[in-house]
Amino acid sequence: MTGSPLTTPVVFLLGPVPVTLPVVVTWGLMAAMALGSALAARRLRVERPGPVQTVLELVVETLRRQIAETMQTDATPFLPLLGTLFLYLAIANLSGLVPGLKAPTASLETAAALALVVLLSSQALGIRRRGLWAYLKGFAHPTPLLLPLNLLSELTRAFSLSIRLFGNVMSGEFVIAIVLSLAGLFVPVPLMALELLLGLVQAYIFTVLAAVFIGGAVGTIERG
Amino acid sequence: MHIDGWTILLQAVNFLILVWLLRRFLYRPVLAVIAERQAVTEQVRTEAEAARQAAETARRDLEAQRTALPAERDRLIAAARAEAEAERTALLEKARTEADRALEESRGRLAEEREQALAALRRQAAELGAALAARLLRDAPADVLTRPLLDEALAAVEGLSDARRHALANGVAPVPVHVVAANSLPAEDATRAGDRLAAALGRPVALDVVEDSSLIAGVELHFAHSVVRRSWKQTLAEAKEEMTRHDSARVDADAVA
Repeated sequence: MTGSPLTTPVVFLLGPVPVTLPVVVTWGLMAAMALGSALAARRLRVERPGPVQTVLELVVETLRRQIAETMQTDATPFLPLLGTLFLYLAIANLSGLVPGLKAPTASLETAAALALVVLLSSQALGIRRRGLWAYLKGFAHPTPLLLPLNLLSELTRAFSLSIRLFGNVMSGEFVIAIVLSLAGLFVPVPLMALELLLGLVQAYIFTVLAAVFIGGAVGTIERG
Repeated sequence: MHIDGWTILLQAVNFLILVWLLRRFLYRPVLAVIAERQAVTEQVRTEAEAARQAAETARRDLEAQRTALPAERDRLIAAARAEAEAERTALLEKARTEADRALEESRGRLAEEREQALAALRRQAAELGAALAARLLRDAPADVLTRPLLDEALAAVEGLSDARRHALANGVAPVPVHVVAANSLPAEDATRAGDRLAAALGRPVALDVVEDSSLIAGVELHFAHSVVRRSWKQTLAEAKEEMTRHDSARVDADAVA
């Protein structure tokens, strides 16, 4: 890694649209996740499930339970969004440990895109669940004087989401790259193990915060 | 630092597509299987609960039956005891009645046999007394005993009404009179008898004297249609009959009492 960690290399141009490396890696991860899910969920059985099916059910049920505990409501309607968010973040964060790959979440655009999706999703779900007027009135709670601050906090929360994710993943990879260039092949291994843990922790934090934001928007929990 | 808007847009679209893909290929089938398994589990649990309820009901029924068994047993024992007591009482009453009846029959039979024995003894005593009297009278002088009886028989004829005496005469003369005496009548006695009969009947009498020692003592005057008896044979027979009749009357009186 010789370039700046803050730059996003363009792989190719699709007309006027530059397709950067995070986008390409994301496509690969999307294909792997979709294909893997389709294959794993191909022969699901009610009785005597196999090991793969058991793992799938364990992952899905754990996600649903965790989201339900966070949002204090039935998690099934929110499972595709938040579950996919966690799985993508975990896999994307860990993909940086694969030699030759760079985690898509180490780019600010990817983190910003995910934060933007969470921001827009929370607004859309809040309006759909509570109605436009009631949802907008929530920004003037507990007093209309706090309306500008509440609106600002919506944006800053999404911003902090993206920056937190980007900073942690990017810094981890950057530190590993520096140590690797200075100390040799096996010295960064402990740091990579730490990065493995940090990647999962960041995925968890991002997902839980997203669940909190959406829960606050739909009114199942207090708006943070 | 440069932030590429296209990358943000593409990554956002990529993520939404990934949401749709995982929803289609992961969440929906896995959640369906979990829901189906939960339904099956719930059904099994419901069936198990129903079976448990049935078992609990059966256990309660058994418990109730087990609780009711002593009471039912006591009731049956009490009923059996009451029935046995009633049957025992009935049997005792029946036995007592039969015993009383048998005792009464025995008493009656004993009384009857006793009366029969007493009657037989009395008869035998009367016959023995009559035989004894006959034996004693047979040793006595016959003419001494016969004469008063002859006079008594003649007095009886004389004491009859005129119509009876006329009937004894039967319209014939002399009137045949068959005199049966226990011993041979002395001539003066026969004459005196003929005279008194002729006087009583108002016409002559033809006496025919016959001896019959069975009379013991006394006479019998046989007319055409009547007999006047004055003899110890008759007296003893009357006494024996009277004794027997008195015994029968006393037995009847005892029976009535």
